[in-house]
Amino acid sequence: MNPILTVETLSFHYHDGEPLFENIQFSIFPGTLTALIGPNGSGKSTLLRLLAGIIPARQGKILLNQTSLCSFSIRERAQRIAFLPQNIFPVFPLTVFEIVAMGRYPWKPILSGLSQKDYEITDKCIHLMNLNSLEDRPYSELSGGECKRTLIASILAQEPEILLLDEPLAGLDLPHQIETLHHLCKLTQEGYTVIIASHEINIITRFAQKFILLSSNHQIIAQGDAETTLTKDNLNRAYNASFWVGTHPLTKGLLIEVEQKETR
Amino acid sequence: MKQGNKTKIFFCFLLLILLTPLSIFIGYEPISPWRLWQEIQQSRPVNQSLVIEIILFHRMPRTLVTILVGMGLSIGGVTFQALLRNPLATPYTLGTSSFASLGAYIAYLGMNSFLSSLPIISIPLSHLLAFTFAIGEVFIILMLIKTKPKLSATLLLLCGITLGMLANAFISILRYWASPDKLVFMERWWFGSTQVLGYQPVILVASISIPAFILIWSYSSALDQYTFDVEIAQSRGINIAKLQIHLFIIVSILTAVIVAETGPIGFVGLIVPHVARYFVGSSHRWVFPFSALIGGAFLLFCDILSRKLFRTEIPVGIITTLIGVPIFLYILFGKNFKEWMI
Repeated sequence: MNPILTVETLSFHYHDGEPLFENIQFSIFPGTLTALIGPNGSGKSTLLRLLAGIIPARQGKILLNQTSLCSFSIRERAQRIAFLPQNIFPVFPLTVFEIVAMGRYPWKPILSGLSQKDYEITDKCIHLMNLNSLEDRPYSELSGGECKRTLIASILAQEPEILLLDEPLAGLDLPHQIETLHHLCKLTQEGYTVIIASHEINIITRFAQKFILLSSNHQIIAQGDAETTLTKDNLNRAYNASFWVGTHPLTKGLLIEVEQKETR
Repeated sequence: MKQGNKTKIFFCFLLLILLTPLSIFIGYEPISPWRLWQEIQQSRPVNQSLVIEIILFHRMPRTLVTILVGMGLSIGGVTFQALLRNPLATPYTLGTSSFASLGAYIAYLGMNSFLSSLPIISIPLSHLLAFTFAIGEVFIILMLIKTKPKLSATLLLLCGITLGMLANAFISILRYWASPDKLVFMERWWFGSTQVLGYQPVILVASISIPAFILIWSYSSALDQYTFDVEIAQSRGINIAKLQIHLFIIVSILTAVIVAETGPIGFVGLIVPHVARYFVGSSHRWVFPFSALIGGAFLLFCDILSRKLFRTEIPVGIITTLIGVPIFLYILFGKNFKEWMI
C-alpha cells in the first residue's frame, strides 16, 4: 500500500530565521491513527499547520497521494485535508447545525446555499457525533466536550481523506477523552486518516497505531509503533526528563510516568 | 429556522414598503394623497405644479437615497464587524467615515476654485477624494493589524477613534477657514443629511451601492468561516489576504460614496447588524439582506422624524445619534456582550 501522506526532507523556519525543522521525513498510511508526541514548543502545531497547507513549507516536499501538496489548488486541498486548531474563538454565536454545515464549504459552488446532499451529510455527521439534541443551540452555550464534538462533526462534514487535529483532548475529562479517541478510531476503520497532536501519552497509546516523537529541539527522535518509539531512552531525550516506562496493570498497554525531581 | 428567516425578511420588506409613502407625503410642505390626486387630474405640465415637482424632484429622490444609504451603512457595518472580527467595528467607529468626510470636505470647499478645474470624468471630485482618504485610513488600520497581530478588539477600536479625531481636527480647521456662505451648506452636510435634489445623486449612489451589496453578499459563507476561525477558514480553502483586501476596498468605496453624498451618519452601521443578528442568527447569508432592509427602514424612519420632530427640519444624522446612543448602550450592557470583549 502507498502512503497517503509523505514528508520528504522538510525544513521550515519562521520569519526571524531561527530554523524550526530541518530535514524531517515520515510517511503516513491511509486508515491509520497517528499521534504527534513531544514537549511544549517542539513544533507539533507548526507541523500540523504545514501539513494543512496553512503555512507554506520553505524547503522539502509534502506529498499527498504521491502528488506535491503545492500542485493542488487550495480548494482541492481543502477537499482532502481538514484541520482543527487547538483553540478557536468564534466572534458570533453560530448554532451547532450551522457550524457543522460550514464544513461543506470546499464542496459548495460560490453563492449557492446547502444542497440536498449537503443537508444529508451534515445530518449524518451530527448524528455520528451524537449532537442531534443540540442542533439549534448556539456554540457559546456548549460545554467543552460538546464544543469538541461539534468541531469534529464540522471537519467530518468536510469529507476529507486526512484529519489533522491539534490537541483534540485538551480540556476534556477522562471519559470524554476516551470517547473522542474512540470516535476517531472508528473513523480510521472507515478509511479516514487521522493525525493528532497531543500530550495525553498514556491514553493515546491505547488507540494510535503510529507515533512520531518530536524533541524540544524540533527533531524527530523516533517514529513507529508504541513499543519501539516510546522507550525510556527516546522519551528522556525528547523531553530532557527522566521517564519510567512500564506496563499498565489494567490495559496491558504502556504506562509512562515521569520521575519526580528533587527540587531542593 | 430557515423558513422562519424568510418570513422575517418578508415582514421587514413590508415595513420598508409601508414607510415609503409616508416619506413621500410627510414633510415641511405636507401633501395629502388626495391633493396629489387632484393635481394629477388637472394634468398640467410637471414644471407648473408645485406639488408634483416637490414629490417628483424632492421627496422621491430623497426617499430612494435614504433607503440606499441606510442599506449601505448597515452592510458596511456588518462587513467591518466581520472583517475585523469585532462587533464594534464599523466604518464610523473606525474613523473611515471621518476620513472620507475630510476628503469630501476638501473637495466641496475647493469647488469653484482651483480644484473644480480638474477634469475628472463623470465621478464627482468629492467622491474621489472621499475614497482616497477612506482607503488611506483603511490601509493604516491594516498596517496596525499587520504589525501587531494580537491587537485586542478594544485597542483597535481606540486606534480607529483616535484616527477619526485626527480627521475631525482637520475638518475643524477647514470649517474655521471656510467662507460663511459655504459654511451654511457644509454644516448641513456635515451633520448628515439625505436631503437631495433630483435624480443624479440617486443614480450615483445606486450605481455604486447595488453592485457593492451583491459583491459583498457573495462573500457570505466565506465571512461565516472567517468569523468562526481564521485558521479553519484557511484550511477550507479561503485566501484570507484576498478576502480582506477585496472587502476593505469595496466597503471603502461604498462608505466614500455615501459620505460624499450625505455626510457622516452615525450609529446605523453599528446598531442595525446587532438587531439583525438578534432576529435571524449569525449566518451572513441572512444577516446581510436582513440588515439591508432594517437599515433602509430605520434610516427612512429617522428621516421622516427629522422633518417633523421640531418646527424646522434637522439633519437626519442627529436623529440617528439620538436614537442610536440608548440602543447602543443597551447592547453594550446587555447580557450577550461580555463574551465579545474578552
